[in-house]
Amino acid sequence: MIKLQHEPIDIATILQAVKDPRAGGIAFFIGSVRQFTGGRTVSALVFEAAGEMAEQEMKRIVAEAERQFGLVRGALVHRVGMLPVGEIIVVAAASAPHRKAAFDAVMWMVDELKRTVPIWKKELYEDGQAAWIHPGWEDPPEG
Amino acid sequence: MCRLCGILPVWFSRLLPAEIGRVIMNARTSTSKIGGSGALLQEAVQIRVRFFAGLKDRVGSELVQLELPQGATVVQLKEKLLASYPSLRSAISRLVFAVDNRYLKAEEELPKDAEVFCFPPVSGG
Repeated sequence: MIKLQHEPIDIATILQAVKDPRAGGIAFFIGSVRQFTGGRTVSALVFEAAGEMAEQEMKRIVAEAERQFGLVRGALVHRVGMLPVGEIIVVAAASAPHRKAAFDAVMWMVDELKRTVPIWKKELYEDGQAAWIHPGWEDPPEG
Repeated sequence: MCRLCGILPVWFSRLLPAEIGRVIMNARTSTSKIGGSGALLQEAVQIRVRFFAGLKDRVGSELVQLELPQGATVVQLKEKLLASYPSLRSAISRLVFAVDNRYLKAEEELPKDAEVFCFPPVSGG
């Protein structure tokens, strides 16, 4: 299961997608909107994606994880749009014959997603300000 | 494009010698390829560039059209972008480009009539 979606993520659906008699372990990573970042209070995050390409990259990551870690199945689901504090942003799941491969695969999939998938977040702060997060751009945008 | 035309004089003198150099080099390459039929004027192509996330704010636009010599690579597109949008100076080395949902390498030629996606550093997850 690979999906970029506006609607809330349903964990049970993802569990069903990766569950399999060949799997002895299923691992999940669930990423959610954190209230505090770098000393500031966040009220919500807005996610933008290069839709089709982002899904294609997510497919590549899951296929690569399934191969590399010998998974039974992998899943990667990410939301777009505005998400308030506490909301689920991303879910990575992996089923494998044994737990280590499942844990390792989930860690790798999330790392890889953060590295290559064209998705960006904008932090909306409690004080009404907002900022796009682009790692490596130290200086604020010139106005 | 009005925006582009408006700022053309500012960077024109700075950019021109390099552009001419490239055009001549490209013309030589293509001349040798086609056996000396001697087209000295390099054909220009219009490249559409779509910006995402914080890049839209920096550039002040979501979609722009730029003129580049035919066969131009990602490197040349970056130079052109920097010349047209000086606000990209601190960001340019971290930008990546994609066409048809595939990342482009620096030395890769831009496909004709392509819409090029220009991505700032990603921050999903």
